[in-house]
Amino acid sequence: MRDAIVIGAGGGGPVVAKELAAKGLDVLVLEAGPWYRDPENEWSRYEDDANDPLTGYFRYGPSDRSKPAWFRETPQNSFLWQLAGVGGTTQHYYGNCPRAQPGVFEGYTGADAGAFDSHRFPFSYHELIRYYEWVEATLPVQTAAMGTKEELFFSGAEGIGLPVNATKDISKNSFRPQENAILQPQGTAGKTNDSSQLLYPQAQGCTFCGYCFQGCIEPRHAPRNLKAKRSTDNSYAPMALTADAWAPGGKAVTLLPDAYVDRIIHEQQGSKTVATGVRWHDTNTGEAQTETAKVVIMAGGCTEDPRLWLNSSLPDPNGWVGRGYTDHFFDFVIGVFDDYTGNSKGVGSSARCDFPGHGGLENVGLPPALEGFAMSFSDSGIQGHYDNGRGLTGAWDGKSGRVGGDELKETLADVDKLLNVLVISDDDVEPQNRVVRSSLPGDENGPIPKVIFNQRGRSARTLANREYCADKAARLLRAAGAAKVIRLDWPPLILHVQSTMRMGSDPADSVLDDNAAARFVDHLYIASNSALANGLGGPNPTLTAQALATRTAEKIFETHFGGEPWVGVENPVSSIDDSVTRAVIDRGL
Amino acid sequence: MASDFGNETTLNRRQFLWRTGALGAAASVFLYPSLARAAGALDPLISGIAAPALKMLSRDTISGLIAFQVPGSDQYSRAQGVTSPRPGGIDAKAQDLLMIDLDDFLPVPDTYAQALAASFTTAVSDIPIPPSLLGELGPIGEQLAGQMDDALRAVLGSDAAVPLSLLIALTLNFLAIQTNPASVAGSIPGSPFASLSFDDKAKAFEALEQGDPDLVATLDSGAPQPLKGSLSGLLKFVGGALLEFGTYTSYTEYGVFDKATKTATARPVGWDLSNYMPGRTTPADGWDEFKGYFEGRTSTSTDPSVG
Repeated sequence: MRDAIVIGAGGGGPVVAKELAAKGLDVLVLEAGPWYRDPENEWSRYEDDANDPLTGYFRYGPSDRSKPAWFRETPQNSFLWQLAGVGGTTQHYYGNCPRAQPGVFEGYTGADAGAFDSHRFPFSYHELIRYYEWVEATLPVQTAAMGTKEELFFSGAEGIGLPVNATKDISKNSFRPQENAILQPQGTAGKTNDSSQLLYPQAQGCTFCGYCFQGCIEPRHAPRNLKAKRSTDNSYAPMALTADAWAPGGKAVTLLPDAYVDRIIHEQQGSKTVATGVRWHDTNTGEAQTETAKVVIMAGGCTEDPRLWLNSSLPDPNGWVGRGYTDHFFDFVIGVFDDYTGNSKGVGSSARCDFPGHGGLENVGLPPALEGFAMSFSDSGIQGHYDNGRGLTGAWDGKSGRVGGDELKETLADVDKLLNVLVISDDDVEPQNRVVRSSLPGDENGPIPKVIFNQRGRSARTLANREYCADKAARLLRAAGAAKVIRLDWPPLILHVQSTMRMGSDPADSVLDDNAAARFVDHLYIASNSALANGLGGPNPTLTAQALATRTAEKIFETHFGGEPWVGVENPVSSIDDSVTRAVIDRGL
Repeated sequence: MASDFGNETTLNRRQFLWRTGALGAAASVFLYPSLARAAGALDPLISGIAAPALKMLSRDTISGLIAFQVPGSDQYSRAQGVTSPRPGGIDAKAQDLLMIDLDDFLPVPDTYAQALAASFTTAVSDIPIPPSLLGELGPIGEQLAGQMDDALRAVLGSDAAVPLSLLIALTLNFLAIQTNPASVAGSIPGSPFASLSFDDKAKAFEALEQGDPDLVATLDSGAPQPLKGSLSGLLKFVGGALLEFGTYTSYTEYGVFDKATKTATARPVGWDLSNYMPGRTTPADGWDEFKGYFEGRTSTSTDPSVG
């Protein structure tokens, strides 16, 4: 019997695993996808080889790329962008680590309190600060360096009259460099195009290669835990695997890739349902195995956590398993410039605006195929041809909609003369946006999930927030000097995902209590984005999910193993600490 | 009465084969002399004409989609009346990538693809196709019609997996002929959709994204129970995905990528089209792009008012 089994090694699983391993617990981490141990040679960084959602090395499917991807049903115009593998979606994330809007937490008394979703976190923002600071020190999170695209974004933000936010917390409409999990450039990094001058240790931190979405391998020759981007495969997973080396009394976790958990084993103890272990199968051989544990922690993400819950026949008495899916109802606004913008170079996004009660904006740098995808993704039809009953007008040029044919080629004639702004809506928890089990035949892993978003029927607040932020995006681009501004009106791009197994203070509309423990199953916790109470008011969710996972690890240690809290008491060890680096090198990680 | 009913069903099914492009594609394959003698028996028809015809149908239709998204100077761009002097998605081999992705890596259950594809061969048409168009193929068409009806039904109705690209092609061609009946005998004989003008392709996609009632009814006639009633949403997803990935695939390195070495053997078409990293064929390790820190600030801390 293990002390704890963690299901999923994405953004949250390795965090709770590392924290418990540092306290000496025996932790097994099971990951359905691959574990890339040699990314410098495994990741080509070409767009199709990397990002093709059906065949790429970053896909939701088994590590054997000759096999099909895992199919998910999405019965509406939308795109669900999942990733399997150690690191999960942090493998392709941009490392952005803003804290949540304070207004989405219980006890918020600001003058704008009524502007936020009523589905609050069941504790105060103040309580989460120490966990934020712990994670920020561990990853570490730093203030982003600028490239040309950030200089342009900031000039646009100043041009529309926004003030600068020079803290980590959001209190008013403002702009700032991202706080991100990207090591700042040192040495030759960011100062040369010459690959021979960009090897570690001559170059350290971000080299501005522009391939966050294809996987970070820079600087070449750096130990795995010193790669620029702090995806969990570069940060928390190496720490979990070497916990005995850097934590007094620590115990290294066991990490199994290609291990698809298809059932949470549970038993009835009196009136209580108790989780006792998991069943998984090897995705290469099909061999099934079981393992028992004192505590089971789900960390598969917003689509897979509810699917596994339902496939395991766990109780769902209030019907909220899978409900309340938030995705920030993105939109995309593109500025076409006469001059160089540096769109394809540097960290994917190093600049943002925050609008409490409405959401936010961030710049998004893209290489050409992803830029083409972004221009072709719309709920407003094709510009100049049809608009699906939408065709929104405003501060942008013409009607919203896809760009196609000649116009697409013309718009994309120079990818480095574009500046993209992602519209991040503060969206409401709504029960109709949800994960259910599909009626389509299951795959080798069991019944598949069906992800339902009713984008046109979202709450009035969500829809108004999206328009508010889209207007700001267009005005910002014009102020930055864009010759043309295009609004796409994206359908759901399900990429920032939150709250399908939400924690909350009201047992009637939450799956987890204020400790992230399952309300209806004992010894079962959740440590992925699905545990988040809401969409955070718009900030990118990974940091908050990791801070919450850290808090959850403490609660597990206190509740089931008689331990004491450590956050705010001990000093965190950074994932780039020499003790971690030595262990990573010694163990060939 | 039974006989009359049977004749009517056969006729309508044959119209549907026309309307989805299957019969036009079959006629094109039939014109190859080496295959012509296959006519007359069902099995040779299936292997020699029907199966290749359906593959051509898929490939031509997907190519018509790629040219719609990223036109070049190829035959599919010319057929739609919108060309470009610079290379397009066809030159990038995006049609090959999209077909591989659809057929080999998107795990739609076989039973569902079969059922939906078969619905195209059995549904009843209420869209008139002028007899003059049906007669375009003349004696060959007349000769083929009866035989191909059986052969194509045999292919689509068999237990063999139906490639998803064929299902997509049947759908787009159904909409194409609804948009413009003359496309049944257009300049790309293997695909009514690929024969449409650029504007008509947009109309076909409009119908797809808006859940065209005739298309939904046709698919619904053969859809397995879990899909009944949800086809409208599925079509919205398919319409969006085809357009997004039609563009995406056109701008990737696929056409020049060597899997063995994990490098491009030449500049990808999409890189030239977008002026991406001029002169390079490989991803860069970094750029001289670091512009410092905003206001010189390299770190921040918790706002004292909340800490």
